Amino acid sequence: MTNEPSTQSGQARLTLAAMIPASVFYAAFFAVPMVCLLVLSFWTTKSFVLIPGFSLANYVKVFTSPLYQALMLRTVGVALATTAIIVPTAFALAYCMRFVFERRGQLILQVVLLSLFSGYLVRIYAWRTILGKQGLLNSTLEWTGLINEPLEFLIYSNFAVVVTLSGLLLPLAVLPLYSAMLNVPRDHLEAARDLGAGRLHILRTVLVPMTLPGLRTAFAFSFLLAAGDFVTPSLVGGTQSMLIGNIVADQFRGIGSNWPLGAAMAFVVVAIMLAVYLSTTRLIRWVTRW
Amino acid sequence: MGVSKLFGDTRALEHIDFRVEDGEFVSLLGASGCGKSTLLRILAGFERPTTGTVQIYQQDVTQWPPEKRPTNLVFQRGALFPHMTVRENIGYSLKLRRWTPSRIDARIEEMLALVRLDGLGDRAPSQLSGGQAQRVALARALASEPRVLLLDEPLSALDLKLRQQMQLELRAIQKRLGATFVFVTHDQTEALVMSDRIAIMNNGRIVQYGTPRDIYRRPNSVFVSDFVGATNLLSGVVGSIDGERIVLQTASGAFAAPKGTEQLRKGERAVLSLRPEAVRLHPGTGRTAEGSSVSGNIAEIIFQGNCVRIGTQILPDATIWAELRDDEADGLTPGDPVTLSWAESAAAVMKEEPQ
Ligand SMILES: Nc1ncnc2c1ncn2[C@@H]1O[C@H](COP(=O)(O)OP(=O)(O)O)[C@@H](O)[C@H]1O
Ligand SMILES: [Mg+2]
Repeated sequence: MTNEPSTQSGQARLTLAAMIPASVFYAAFFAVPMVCLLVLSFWTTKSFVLIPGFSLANYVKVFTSPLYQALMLRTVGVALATTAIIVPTAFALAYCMRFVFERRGQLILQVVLLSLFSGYLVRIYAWRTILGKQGLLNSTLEWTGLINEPLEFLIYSNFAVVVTLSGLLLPLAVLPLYSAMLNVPRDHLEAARDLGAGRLHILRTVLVPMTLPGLRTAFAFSFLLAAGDFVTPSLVGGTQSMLIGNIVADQFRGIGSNWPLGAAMAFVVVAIMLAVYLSTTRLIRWVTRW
Repeated sequence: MGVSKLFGDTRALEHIDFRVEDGEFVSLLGASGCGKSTLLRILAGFERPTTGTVQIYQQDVTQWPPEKRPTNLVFQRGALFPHMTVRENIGYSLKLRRWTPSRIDARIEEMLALVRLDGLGDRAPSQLSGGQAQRVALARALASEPRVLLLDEPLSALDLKLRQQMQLELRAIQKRLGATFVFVTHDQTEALVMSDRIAIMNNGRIVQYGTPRDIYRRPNSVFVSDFVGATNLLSGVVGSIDGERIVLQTASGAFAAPKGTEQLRKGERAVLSLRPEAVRLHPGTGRTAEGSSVSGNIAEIIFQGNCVRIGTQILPDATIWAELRDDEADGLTPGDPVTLSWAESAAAVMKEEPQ
């Protein structure tokens, strides 16, 4: 009895000690580079030479340039569209894996994992062969006589970017959602039904709230990764499909590069994405309030 | 009605035909896997019977989904919604029925008082003990005043003391509300304590349906007498039947018993069942005044706190157990010769079951 407080503080100390390796790792591989980048974003360049200092010029440029504003908007739009495809699809898939296929759901999980290991570029090129002018989709549609000419918008367009990103990121959203579903006992869904709830009601008042952590992670994976991608737009996007990531990347390589501007852009992008992410998760919570 | 249920080739229920009266507390008692939950889920609407019909108050509800049925189910592990407070859990079905907020609040308070959890309404389910969680589950299921409350082993996860207390509370609540309860359990004591009637289940069938007294005193099969309470079983052949009396010839003598409901014929193999607490024990090997008696030597003495169980070997392969008060067993030691006796009416004869 009397030594309980000291045991507790002993445990707290132990917990702190256990966190040291993780903290060091986190500092070395995440915090330090981020701080360097932040400092860099206040510097300026002259004739491709970095000039240390504290200037808000880069941020002003990011916020005032119509080009950057348009890119930001398009990026948020593409990322939201991608997420709007991925999250419901992944949710439905995870639901089926857990509650319809049950044991056999594990098999689908293996397939999902396998697709993750098959490589990023390979999968983008795979989508190109599906969506391309002479691609799988167009030739099938032509063969069935539904269309006479290849559908132009299928490739090198915002549509292609959204579809390809959805295909790429879907498995990443399935994983957290499936794991969240595993934590939902069937009893709870049946209890809601027994008490008189219809299917939509169960979804809104029980299933979504109980899988909220998984939903948040799935949303973060698809939204943030889609918003940050610049390889997909450059491979399947058209001239009007560049995303902010492409411009940020350009600031860090080749001629015309401007590291401080790129760093400022990166921080603005991160801030906007976080804001969108947080407001969307708020929205989910509001919709599912009981 | 004759409800049966098949899962693929597995026959979970076979020709179940039973009826519960309004305001009754009925237990479905049986070993794990005998089909209790399946039967309850058919009543709740989660499973459709392969054949047969379910009626509630003269209304055929066989095709009704669970959300439409006037039944509510209390789950084994409560199944409280973790993201809602106790209050929100209890009010869930009321909000779905579009009650006004003030009426919902009043009902929630009433329910909290009923299950003696006043003041805990704003807690999260994770802040409740096991017993409290089951009370909330009960309150949630009762809130919308279902005509029938179905309970699937709701107390099995609680420890003994709490379980016994909750048994009495549950029974008191049911009596106060005058509601119809169908309660699933594998614990025979629980069923005996709580029920108006008990349906004993075995292999997807109801093998006996009656009051706890009936079932305990007049089991209609070896299975029931063995399952409900401890019993001594002596097998033999029916010797004679006259009027209300039946005599069984066993390897250790002829014993009489009242004729049960079962039709037995002379010469048929049968089993005599005898409750340990009905057996009296006398030191020595003299005759006794009471109806039936047999002699043997004490083989084992087991102290159980409130009583002592004494096993007496009457044949090399037959032991009869007697249950005595502790002080009655003073001075007895293994090896002592003793005579066992019991009233004729305490024994029951039933058909031998092929094992
Ligand atoms: N969904 C199901 N699919 C296949 N078999 C089942 C299913 N549910 C129950 N069973 C089988 O039906 C039998 C009865 O199960 P159950 O009603 O749960 O028994 P109890 O509740 O008495 O332990 C068991 O043999 C069980 O394996
Ligand atoms: Mg069960």
